[in-house]
Amino acid sequence: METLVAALVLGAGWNSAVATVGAAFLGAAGGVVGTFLLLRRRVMLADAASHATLPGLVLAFLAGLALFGEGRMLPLLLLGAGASAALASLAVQATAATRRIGEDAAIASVLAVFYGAGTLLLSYVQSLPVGGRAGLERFLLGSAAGTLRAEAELVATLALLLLLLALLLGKELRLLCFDPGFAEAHGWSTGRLDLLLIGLLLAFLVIGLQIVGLVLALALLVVPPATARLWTDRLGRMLPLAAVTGALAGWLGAAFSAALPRLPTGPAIVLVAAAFFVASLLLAPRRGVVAVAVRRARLRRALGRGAAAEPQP
Amino acid sequence: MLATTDDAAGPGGRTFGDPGSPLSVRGLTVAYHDRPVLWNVDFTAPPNGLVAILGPNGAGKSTFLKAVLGLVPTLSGEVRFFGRPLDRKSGLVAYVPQRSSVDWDFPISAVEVVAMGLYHRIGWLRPVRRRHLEAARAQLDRVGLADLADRQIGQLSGGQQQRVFLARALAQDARVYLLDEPLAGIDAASERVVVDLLRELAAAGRTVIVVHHDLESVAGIFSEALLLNVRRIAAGPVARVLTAANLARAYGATLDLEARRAVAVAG
Repeated sequence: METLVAALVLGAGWNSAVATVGAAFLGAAGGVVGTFLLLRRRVMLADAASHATLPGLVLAFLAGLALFGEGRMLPLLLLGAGASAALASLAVQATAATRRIGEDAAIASVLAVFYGAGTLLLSYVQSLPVGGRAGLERFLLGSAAGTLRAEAELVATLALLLLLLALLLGKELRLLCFDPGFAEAHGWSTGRLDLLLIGLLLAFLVIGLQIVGLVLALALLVVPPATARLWTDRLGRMLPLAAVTGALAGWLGAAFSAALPRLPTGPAIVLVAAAFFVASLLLAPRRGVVAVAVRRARLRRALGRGAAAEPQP
Repeated sequence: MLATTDDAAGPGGRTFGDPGSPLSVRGLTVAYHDRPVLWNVDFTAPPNGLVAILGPNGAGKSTFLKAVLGLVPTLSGEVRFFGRPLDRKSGLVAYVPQRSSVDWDFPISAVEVVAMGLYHRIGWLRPVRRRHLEAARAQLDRVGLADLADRQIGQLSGGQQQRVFLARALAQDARVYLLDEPLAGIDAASERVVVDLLRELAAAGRTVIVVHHDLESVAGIFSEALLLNVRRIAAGPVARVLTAANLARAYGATLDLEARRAVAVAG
């Protein structure tokens, strides 16, 4: 308990504090990027892309081993992860563009193939008599505690930059999500805007991979925006709400995982975010389950008394 | 009298690519997969006026608008706006898509939708400021929706949503307006507002080209028409286009009651 409190208030040492702050910034960036992905209906693509980081990650490990005698070189690993996620995104688009199978089927197939290949490569690496291979497994579920201080500082900085970039592009992304036909007709290339959105997604995945892990990175992109959507029907408010929800989830999740050594960070963050979501689903004003039930009950009672207002045309 | 749209009609007709014509089209052919949707369509719009694009379902009316904007791939054909190929960024042309093309549950208010008509002038990476929202509000006022400016768009009626789209187009302050079925499925009050504004735009020297489905109301609203059924059936002043023979060619032998009345009204 003491360690948890210490971790929550950033008192569990500088390393843990930096990792916690990094997770919070990451959560905020994920909330903003995820809001646009959600509104553009690209969430499943994000899932495929995050799982597809695995083969690139392991191949980069092997490449590092062959070239430098050292597998765990973070820039190389992240480069590999980003490249294979980008490749998977392209594969989804190309497969869907043939119109022979639906986009959902294309996404599921690409996810399965990339993740399967990644798992295969991972089990091969684990059979090798080399050091550092345990470090690879951290990328599956994420580990804020296992992140080096310099790396955590870099994550925090990059996440903040990503957040700012996504907000700067807010006007164009809003246009893309709401009315792509209008955007295209007036000189915006929706293809390029979509690429930009996927670029933000890939940046998020690469930045966050160590902390949230590739299996659950999706949750940080989906759950905070979905939570925010329950509280407002204005994008201008949904973005900050999603950012704050994501930041809180990142903060609390990283602290929990720092306090409980065997708890990976990704699942901890996801569970915190899910708690926010469930609470909002029940309690949010107007769109919440309770609010809707109360309104219906009132209407039914008013009808019983014959006092319900006639619906306006 | 307005210049005729019927460039094939001989004297007084305009030629393709005339800089004085807001829109001229030559040999436009579009196919989805191997099914032709538009076949070798020629059309030249008058310098100003209200033009209806008419034809049965599947005649290629919406595709015609999308094709002149370059939004769907064309197999052949050329399109000129004021004698030049369209630069979509120029702000010369405002396009109002079909209402069904967007997600009305989107978290956005009416005034924010209208402000999208100003994004060009605002420019990349710059935020929408208060004065832009004020300008958008002024356009909403023109379509009679100032009171509903802050409503989430899904809470508006179909007619009100269409008026929001029109207000966004007004905010663009374009010279050519292309509207896809702006009068489909809207209430009478909204229809009056939309028609009045279209007339106002035409009177102010803008060219307004509207995909329209209701043959009966054509003569009361539009000065010119293009009648399509994959091919061009006829183009020109409404009275010359809406003849029994043209409508029979466009709609087939089973010319319905509505079309018959349209002929009566136009005649």
